[in-house]
Amino acid sequence: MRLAIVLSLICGILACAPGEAVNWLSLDRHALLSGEVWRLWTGHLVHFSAMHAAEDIMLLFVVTAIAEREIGGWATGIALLVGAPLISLSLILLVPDLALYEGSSGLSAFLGFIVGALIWRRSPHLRFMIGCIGLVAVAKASLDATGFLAGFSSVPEGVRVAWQAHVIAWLIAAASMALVAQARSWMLASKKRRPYSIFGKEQGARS
Amino acid sequence: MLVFAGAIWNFLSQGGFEMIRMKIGIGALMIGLALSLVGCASWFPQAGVKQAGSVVTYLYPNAKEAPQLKPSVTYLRPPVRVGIAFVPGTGSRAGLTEPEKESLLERVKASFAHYDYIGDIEVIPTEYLRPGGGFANLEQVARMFNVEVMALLSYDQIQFNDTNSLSVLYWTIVGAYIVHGDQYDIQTMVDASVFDVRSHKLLFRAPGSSRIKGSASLAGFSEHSRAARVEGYNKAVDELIPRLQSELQTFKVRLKSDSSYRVENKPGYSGGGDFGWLGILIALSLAVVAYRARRKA
Repeated sequence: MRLAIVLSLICGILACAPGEAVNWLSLDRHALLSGEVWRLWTGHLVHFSAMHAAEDIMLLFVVTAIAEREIGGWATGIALLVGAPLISLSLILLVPDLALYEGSSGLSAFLGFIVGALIWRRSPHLRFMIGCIGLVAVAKASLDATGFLAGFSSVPEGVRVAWQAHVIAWLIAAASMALVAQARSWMLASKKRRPYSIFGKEQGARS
Repeated sequence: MLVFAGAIWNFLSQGGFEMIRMKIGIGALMIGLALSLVGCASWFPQAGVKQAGSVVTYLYPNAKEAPQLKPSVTYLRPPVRVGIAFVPGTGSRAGLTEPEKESLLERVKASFAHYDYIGDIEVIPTEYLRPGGGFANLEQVARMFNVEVMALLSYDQIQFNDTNSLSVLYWTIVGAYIVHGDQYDIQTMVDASVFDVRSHKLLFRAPGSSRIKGSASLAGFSEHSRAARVEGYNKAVDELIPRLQSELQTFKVRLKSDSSYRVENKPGYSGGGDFGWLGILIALSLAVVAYRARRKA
């Protein structure tokens, strides 16, 4: 819960910050390419308007609080620290027309996918509900992509909903989970082999 | 010859010299009085002052027929870069000085700075606009300042000068410095016309007007009336700004229904990560699912 509160507070404070500060932190393609790398992280913490910030902060608070409960505060923090620049870099590479990105919903999508996938694996009886939630999220992203929900967005006029950030976040979350699962299976396999491979004789002798 | 010399001697001996001197003195006095009257008259203010800069004269200098606009689609790509300038005035009395114009334009600029769909607003000095330059000049300036839309401020100010009954005291000389025997009535109209530079289409317009009346002494009239003329422009711009904002809102509504306008995103657009209220519902549903999963475990 601590991380959820801290993140929400940071986003809230930045929502009240002057425009120059927000411009200095947003994910600006040209500024990033000229070496301002902090934008890979900070772009997810600033917003275009107070309304945009309010919705995104609420979403981030709920999802981060769930993630902290499910995978722990440290793991959530590390996931966010690694996930944020990966989402930003992917946006810069895969969406060349996107000159400027602001908003924390990419991080929420990233954590939401991880939490959903964990519950899916742990609790098979809740898979139907998780599937429904996932479908609604995918439908929302599809409608954003086609522009059907343009009028219902909280982003100000002249700013598009960057639905690509959500899709990219889901893909990165899926890839990260697959990597973690693979790494865990390798570690388990190496643990099983350890008495014979590294300390085989001594440990075997002691036991 | 002797008879003529005798007559002159007779005339001079009977006081003729005194008579000539008196006549010369009266003549000089009359001339002096006339000159001083002419000098005083030059103090009096002119009957009126007119300052004008017309957008029609600037954009259509030699138009004998109504301009024919081809039916076309106007593309607006937010955030739109806007230039704002006073159109050049006509005649020697072309109105405000450049710093005064700039100060007024800065006020208009400040009132539109918070709109997200308006990008940079460039204040363009009138020197860059050629009198009667037309759209060719407008396009040059737009290219130079990299703006897509131009807001042109035209103006028309008339000052009427009158004297009141107190002006009779000007003849005391001191009265010309103390008594407010001159009156001015200044009527100002400022009109902002917003043009899309590429299509030459008038997007919307809004007027602002003011009327200022006052009085001053003969000696201070010029200074007072000049300050009042500037105040007239200020008040007209005060009235113009809310009207222009209102017209902008009306134009935004019109954009949705008018097929001759199309709003497009620029090649490098801004994107906001946003799930909306549906996202919060999704997150709350996920919280319920997580809670149920923990309870079951």
